Amino acid sequence: MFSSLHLLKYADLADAQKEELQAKMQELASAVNDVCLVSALLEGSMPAYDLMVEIGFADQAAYEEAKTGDAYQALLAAVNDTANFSVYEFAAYGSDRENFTDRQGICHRVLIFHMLPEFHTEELEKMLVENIVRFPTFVPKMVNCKLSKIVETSGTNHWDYAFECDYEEIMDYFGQYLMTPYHWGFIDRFFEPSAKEFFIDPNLASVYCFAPTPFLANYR
Amino acid sequence: MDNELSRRDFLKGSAAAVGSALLVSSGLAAGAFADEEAAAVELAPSDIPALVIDEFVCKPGEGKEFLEYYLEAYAPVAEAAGLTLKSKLVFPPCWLPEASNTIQVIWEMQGGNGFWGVYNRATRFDPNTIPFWADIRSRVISQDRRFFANVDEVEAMNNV
Repeated sequence: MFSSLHLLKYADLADAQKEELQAKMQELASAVNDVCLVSALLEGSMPAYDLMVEIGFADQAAYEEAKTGDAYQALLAAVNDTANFSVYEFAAYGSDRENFTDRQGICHRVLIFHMLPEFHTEELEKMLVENIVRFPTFVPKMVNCKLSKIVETSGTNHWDYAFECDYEEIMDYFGQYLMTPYHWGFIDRFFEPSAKEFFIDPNLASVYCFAPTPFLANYR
Repeated sequence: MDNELSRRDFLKGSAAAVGSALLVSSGLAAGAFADEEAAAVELAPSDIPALVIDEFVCKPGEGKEFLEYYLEAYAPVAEAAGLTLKSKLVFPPCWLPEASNTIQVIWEMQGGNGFWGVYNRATRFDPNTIPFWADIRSRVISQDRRFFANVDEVEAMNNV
């Protein structure tokens, strides 16, 4: 699957306006492709953005074709409307490393991050890439995960990678996933300034939301 | 472990609060680095202490001076990050005037709950953190921080 991810923070709008806007974004995303997820981000997402719009395509060629269409252009116009959204992060990426199961889940999470050039080495990047997709071994409630190099990006940082996961339940993100020592004792060394393996910018985006079915299972 | 938290609990809580609630239900005996009395208290997996070990290979002749600098600069940060100083070790057991001492400073942290609840907030997202550790590295030959667990408690710690 190739993803077009849009993370949004509402401008100063009334609750009713936000609901209308989410419905409008759902309509616009669905017009681009049936495989889409428009969902309010849940408390604890960092930064405190409000809405995820993710559209899945069979591959990058399908994405490139869709990009030139009226439906995608209408979506782009909407997400760039600063009267409605005060922050807009964008990333487009494929599916470089995958670890999938056939289990069901209702929580979708995306982490996008930037590699700090002053700390980055090829060896560190390879270590992170190989180990981060091993999470399901330590987090059985993680249904699917994939790591992908981002090929198009805009927003508050130059986003290099997207790590996406589906979990069985909403709570599994804050529960088993965060609390496994594999996470805070090992994988987080790449994100920890005091560790030898540090090279990921702390200015990252880690968001999660309700999804009726495992989003990453599309096109499998 | 069955998930016994409600969506409402989750939405109103921080990672630490949610983690604590998760852990209350599992009731595993632990106490990795506690004394015998404390070890009798049942700890949830993410409350089982981990050791945070800072290791420094010092520049020749600078071991004692560096340790004093590091402790003065870092102790307040560590306290705010929920770390408790457990010990300071030096190899070899004498200050070398013309060769390198290796120093280990050992802190204790309250496992996953401590990491996400206090440590992470007090360190990573403070803009001073990256320059602080860059400064520390510039004062030594090498530096690393690693988290350790008591081997006897690894299974319990991972039962999250």
